[in-house]
Amino acid sequence: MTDAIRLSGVNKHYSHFELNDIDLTLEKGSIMGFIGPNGAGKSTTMRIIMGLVAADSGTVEVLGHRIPEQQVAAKWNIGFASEDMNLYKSATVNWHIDFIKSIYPSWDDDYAQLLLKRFDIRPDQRVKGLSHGQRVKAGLLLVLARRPKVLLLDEPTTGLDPVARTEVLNELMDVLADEDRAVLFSSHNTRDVEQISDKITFLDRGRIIDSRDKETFLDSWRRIRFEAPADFDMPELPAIASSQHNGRLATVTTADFDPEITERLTRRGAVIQSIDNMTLEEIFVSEVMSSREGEAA
Amino acid sequence: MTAMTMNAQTSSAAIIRQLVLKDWYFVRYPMAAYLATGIAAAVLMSVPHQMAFMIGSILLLSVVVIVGIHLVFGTVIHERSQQTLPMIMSLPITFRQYSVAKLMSNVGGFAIAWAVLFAVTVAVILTRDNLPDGLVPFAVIALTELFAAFVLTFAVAMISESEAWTIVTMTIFNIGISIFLNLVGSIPAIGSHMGGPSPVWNGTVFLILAILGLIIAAAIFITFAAQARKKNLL
Repeated sequence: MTDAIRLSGVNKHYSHFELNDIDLTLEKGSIMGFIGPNGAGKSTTMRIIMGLVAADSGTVEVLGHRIPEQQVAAKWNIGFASEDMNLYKSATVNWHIDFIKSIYPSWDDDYAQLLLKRFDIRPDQRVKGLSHGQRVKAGLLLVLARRPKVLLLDEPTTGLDPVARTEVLNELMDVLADEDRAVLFSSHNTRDVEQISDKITFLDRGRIIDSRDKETFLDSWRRIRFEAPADFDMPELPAIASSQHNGRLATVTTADFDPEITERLTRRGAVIQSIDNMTLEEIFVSEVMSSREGEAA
Repeated sequence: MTAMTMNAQTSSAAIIRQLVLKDWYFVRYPMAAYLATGIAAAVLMSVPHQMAFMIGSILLLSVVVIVGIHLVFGTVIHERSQQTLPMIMSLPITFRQYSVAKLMSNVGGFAIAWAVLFAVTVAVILTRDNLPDGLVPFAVIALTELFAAFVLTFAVAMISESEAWTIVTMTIFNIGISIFLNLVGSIPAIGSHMGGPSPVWNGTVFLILAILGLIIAAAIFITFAAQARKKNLL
């Protein structure tokens, strides 16, 4: 089975930023959340996948087409929406629909009409008269109604109010019902990503710092709070992302929880107070901090 | 040629056509207004009064310059500054096809407006008794120089992708127009025939037109060569 997206050893150098050795595979039918702080390289990676920016080295394939050489063949089946992608302010939504429809034979008119209703967009309205949320939804409509096999969504929910964000995420969930469709969804909002993704990739300072199934992330990370005796000597623990002491109270976070960890702590006299699951946001922050500390060391 | 290749080529041509129509759609009203103003300027030139001729000719030259500015800014510079370029470049086109579309909408659009104003201007000069027919070669050189200045401005806008450099180029060419026309008028092989009863198409006129034609061709060639070397489209 052909992967929807495959990046191997991709590098891109700018004077102010560097994308380093990106390996990424997205199977058909998968939804990958691409999480990173601002400036992590999410948009650059997406632009490389679209053929809008050429990698300095490495290989990129979308639906079996090499990028950028075969970008035209690939782009027939890619829907790309980005927060810095604007529509023409002086034109109506209908004009945009007609324009995109004239290019894509796969355009689904019924679905476009349905989305206009769901998103509460008046087709005869000029883009300059739309709110930010409506503009984002109109842009998404233009992408979704062409029924692409791969969706690249670069921060599509940024700046949306909670209602608009929910509408967009609900629509994306519907889209994802198509098992052949692959989605790469970037955001620095972990809640949105957690809601719709089945795979998560963390990116920081131009490097992928972790990439796993969402459930694996959520299942394996734990925060352990315990009371430590005065002469407590922290044992060697596997996969510890961070540890903090505050008086007698201590906290360790682990990326690969195992009951053996609590047993080792208990053997040294620690009294376990709680073992908590972590949110994706907490996991993300821990990953980034741990990665940066590793770089600094 | 396989059916798939033919389909791909048809699609490519159809998309370029849609991109050209899209560009023209956004400048259609101003272009119509400029065209009407240009025709009015040419008619004004034919009024038997020195002041009317001066105002008419300045207005005509200004209209031709403004048509070019509006096209370049409305379809090239604003597409980048208003961030509509990512939407266009996400369509199934190469940067070369995008460049072809821009060339066709800009140079093609300018050529249509320019040809109408060119025809009206020459017709007015040849049909009105108060204007000497000897003025025609000078008018043709002046209008061709404006065409060359437009193509060079378009080339700078496409290659530099910079609003600032485009404005600098435009300013230089606009200041240069009057200097160029004064220089051309001061060449005896041209200036001495401008007031004559019939147009004189001598070697000097053809040489200047040929140089301008070469500048236009070179600007288009350099634009495509530079675009082909670009690796980052946004």
